[in-house]
Amino acid sequence: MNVEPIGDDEVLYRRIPVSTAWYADKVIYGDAFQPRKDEHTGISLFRDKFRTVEEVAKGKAKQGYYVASLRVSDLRRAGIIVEPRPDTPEGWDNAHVEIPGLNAGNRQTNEAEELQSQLAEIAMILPVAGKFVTTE
Amino acid sequence: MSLLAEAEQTAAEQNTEITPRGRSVSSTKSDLATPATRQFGRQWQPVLDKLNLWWTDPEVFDDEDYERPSPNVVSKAIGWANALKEKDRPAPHRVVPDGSGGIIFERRSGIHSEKLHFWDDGKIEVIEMSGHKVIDRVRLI
Repeated sequence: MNVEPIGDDEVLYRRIPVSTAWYADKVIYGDAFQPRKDEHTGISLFRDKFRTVEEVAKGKAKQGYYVASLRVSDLRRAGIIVEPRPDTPEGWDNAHVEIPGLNAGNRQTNEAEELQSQLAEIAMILPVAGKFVTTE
Repeated sequence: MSLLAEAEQTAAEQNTEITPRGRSVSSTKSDLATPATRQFGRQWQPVLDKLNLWWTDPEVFDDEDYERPSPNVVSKAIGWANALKEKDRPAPHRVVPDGSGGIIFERRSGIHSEKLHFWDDGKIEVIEMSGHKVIDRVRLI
């Protein structure tokens, strides 16, 4: 399958569980971009070209989710690399992208702290959507 | 006093195991504030309430992607919160999970921030930032 390059005009979504308070009082904190221990190749985001905000917000959390939006042009201007990674363990997903500069291997480094802080600032440029609570 | 200095002092002084719920924190040395002289005690109550809730009801983190703070880490954070409260240090502005089993205490002032990070692997670090730059980072344990 073809991997479609990410355009400068695209927006990427990052889901934030409400229960974490990584988004509070209209401020997104760098914590929202911390790599998990299993994110070996980079933290995940989703392309607005292939996924709606509502779809990104679907999940099991009872308190629901916020969804932060980051413009690719803003990320690239800050020197942050984003890569399309549609080949996921759950199957092919054109919406899936990663920021390889933030990963499980460097999560306890200054580099990671600084990048998380930059991402939080970029994520504040566009409005945060939500909160969304999935009822099943 | 900066969070780093407070945390270093607290780390140096803590010489016994700290128990969960913080009711029997190991005693520290001579600089414990008396109830009459305490300024910041009340600030710590919401912090301790939150940590105790995480201890008693870990289900508050019900997201499938992230790992809740481990009992070990919650216990450690409660112990530290109690120790810093007893020494009448200002409480953090934020107490949040890190998504990988750890907990972060954070104080912010303008572009300056200080984090006390209880990592899932047992490590405790103080990370000081100015804007997007890490200006100091000290591993305590």
